Amino acid sequence: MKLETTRFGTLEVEEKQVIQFPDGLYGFEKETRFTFLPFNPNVESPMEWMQSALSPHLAFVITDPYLYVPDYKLKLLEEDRKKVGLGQGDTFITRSIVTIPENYTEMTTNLVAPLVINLNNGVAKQFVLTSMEYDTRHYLLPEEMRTTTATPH
Amino acid sequence: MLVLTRKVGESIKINEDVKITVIDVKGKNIRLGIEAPRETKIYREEVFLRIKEENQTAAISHQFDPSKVSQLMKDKIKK
Repeated sequence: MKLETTRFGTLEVEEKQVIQFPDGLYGFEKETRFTFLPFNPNVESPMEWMQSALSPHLAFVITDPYLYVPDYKLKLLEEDRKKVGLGQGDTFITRSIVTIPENYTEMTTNLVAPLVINLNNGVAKQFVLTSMEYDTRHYLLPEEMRTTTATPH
Repeated sequence: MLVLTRKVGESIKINEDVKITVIDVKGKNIRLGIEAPRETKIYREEVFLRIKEENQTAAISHQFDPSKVSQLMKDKIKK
């Protein structure tokens, strides 16, 4: 199928490359279909694009939260597993949405609401953790790598 | 909405297994104790609003050069 996107032009995507989010994302409840694209074709990157298959202008940057918090605690209950159709032994991946501000050294990722993607059926959901341990804006870079934006006078 | 009045120390029960107790009232703050089965998800309501806002911010914050961001992440891994 052909996919119109604002950022990447027209893409040819196979149906099996489309990830289904039956509930959409928080604030984007109607966005139920996304496809994952390389962040930068020439450079290896811990990030990916998550492009909406329904709205050409809508794309998120996502990453693997375990790269930043190796002991990231995501406990899926039986009812959570059911929501994405995870059976015994099915594999899933976890991704978190990245927010990139104007000063991109201050980019953050949302560890409170990870995306769980069932690789067997391509069904995914944004879950909300009940734990108070994590932040919706977890910095990806250590403080010494973040440059402070000059404040205008 | 069902509205109930409770005193400090009094509780309400929801189904057989959820119990919410008023622990303390100080001015505008009410402390609640919640007893529920382990698998019950209990949230402060504002968290959903925060996530909605963060998703919206993430969706519009794309005025950057992906190669610069990737380079920065590479530099981070080297350290």
